[in-house]
Amino acid sequence: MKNSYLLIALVLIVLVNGIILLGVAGNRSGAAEATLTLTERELDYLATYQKEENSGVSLRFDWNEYSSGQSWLDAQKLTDLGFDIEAIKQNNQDRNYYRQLLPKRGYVVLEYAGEAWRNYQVEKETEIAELVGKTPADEKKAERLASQVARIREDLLSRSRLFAVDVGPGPEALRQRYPDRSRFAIVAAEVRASYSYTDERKVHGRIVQLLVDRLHVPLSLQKPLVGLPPRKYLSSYDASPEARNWQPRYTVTVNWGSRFEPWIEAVVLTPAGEKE
Amino acid sequence: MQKDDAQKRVDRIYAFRNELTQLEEAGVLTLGGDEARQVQNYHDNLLGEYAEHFDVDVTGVDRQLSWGMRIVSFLGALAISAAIFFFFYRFWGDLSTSLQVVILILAPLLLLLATGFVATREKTLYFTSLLASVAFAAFVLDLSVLGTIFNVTPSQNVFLVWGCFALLLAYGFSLRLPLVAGMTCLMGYLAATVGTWSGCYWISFGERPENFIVAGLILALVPLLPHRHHPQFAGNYRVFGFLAIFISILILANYGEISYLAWSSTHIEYLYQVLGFVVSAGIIALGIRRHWPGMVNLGATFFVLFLYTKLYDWWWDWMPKYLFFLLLGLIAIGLLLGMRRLRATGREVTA
Repeated sequence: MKNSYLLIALVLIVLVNGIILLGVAGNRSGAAEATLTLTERELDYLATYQKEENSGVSLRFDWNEYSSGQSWLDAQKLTDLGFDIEAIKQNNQDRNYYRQLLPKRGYVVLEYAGEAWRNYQVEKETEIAELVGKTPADEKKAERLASQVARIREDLLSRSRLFAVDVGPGPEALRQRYPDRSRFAIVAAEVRASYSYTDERKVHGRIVQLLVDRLHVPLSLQKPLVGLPPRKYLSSYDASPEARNWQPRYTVTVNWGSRFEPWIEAVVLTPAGEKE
Repeated sequence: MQKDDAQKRVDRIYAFRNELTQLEEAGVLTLGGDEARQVQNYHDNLLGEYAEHFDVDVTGVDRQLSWGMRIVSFLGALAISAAIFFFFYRFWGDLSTSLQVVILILAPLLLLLATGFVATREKTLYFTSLLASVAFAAFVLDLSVLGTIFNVTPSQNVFLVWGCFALLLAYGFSLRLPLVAGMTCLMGYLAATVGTWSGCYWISFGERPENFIVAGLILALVPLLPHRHHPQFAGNYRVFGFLAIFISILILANYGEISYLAWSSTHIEYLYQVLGFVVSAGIIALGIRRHWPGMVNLGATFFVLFLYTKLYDWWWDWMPKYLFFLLLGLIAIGLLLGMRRLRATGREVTA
């Protein structure tokens, strides 16, 4: 090999790694952009998947997607992200065209255990009250009603309390609107525009995915998670006290840095986790 | 001189010897004793020199073994690369972050140095090719896992970096396998970057095949840059670039909804069907004119593919199946006759 090519290749390896590590250091330097202490409800433990072949430990963000595609992600927000709403409305294309609209990158505001979660709770409690107030015609219908109520209760007990509440092209403007750094995290996400055939020519959006949806757990913080059995997802038919009183087994403190990239600061077992 | 040039010269020498023998047996030409000895000695010296410096294939057995060694080298590179990936993933969770980072950075560095060392020790470059491929795999692992460890937002720039590294290996050691890896990575980077010009997020670049048409065109034009020391790479760029273009056109010719064009999907499909025929015919003509057999084969393959998919659209639903395949076969025969006439015309022109 010509020495010049070898030298350039060596320099490339060192340079690129250096740039990445400097970027990471820059992201983590200074005060954290946001710090949230989440639980197993919001950060799912992935280590049990093919553990033999992959010894790495990761936690996956589980945000409540119920709120994606809601009325707040409207045509104006999509326009701010760069979607050409008028062109979409005027285009007389078939359904496939709208399914294929290309996504944009944006920043999403995730709210933890805030107003969005409280509204969700009220909505679900109202649903439960309406179901409980019904008089079923026969035993089968009574079973079905009980199952529906159990599902909603399970949802309230174990579902993520992380809700997407806003979206925008730049994080700075969003942080000005949501200054509480212990309750709102701003993360990069992929957003798509959708076209509703029920509301004439109505365009609305949905958050497809968070660009960083998994967090690596470094060796120094893995101890509380090692040996933890897989999470038991509650069945709507499970009426045991264990199911009715499920509690998350760990809390995780997550920081976001100046590049809005997250890292784990601490992992702590809860009393429920210590029992296991 | 490169190994490919030396191999072509060796092939010409043996072809000359065989033809001379045939001419002597037919009584057409017989070289005088001195002349025959001079030519024989000259060629023998040349063959010895090339065998020593370039390790060229001297016999048919050599050639077959060379192909076998190339395949084994490729499979060996794949296997060792997979072993490195799985080995690292199996044990990385038990290592501290600092140690993970050190291993990830050292692995491609050491493998690159090892590749350079081995290249100075062998002429054939089979082991060099294997090590170069593994060094590339280690670099891919390096950047992927660093991104995972530090939760870095994905970026298309990583394809550019990988592509540059692979091309440095290809041009530095005159290796084709890293060249293909480099072209693949650069194709990804170019297609993703073209996609972002329309404002979309780069990860969705695969949803618009036109991104690959532009990327393929850029790669196909790379041979316009001087390639004095690696003339054999020019054909690879052309074939790879147009392969990407043809595949994209084929997809759009059947699925117009995923085009950038704001027309009805039917019109888009018609456009790309016509474009497919025109471009493939043009590539065949260009390949014949410029003596690029790879391009002629590529163009011919996709011309037939476009034709068959069109015939399927027209006939499959209503025509009896035996008749459909019979007609396809007759069309193939017609194409063969046409290409034979084209070849004969080409010979007349040359004569």
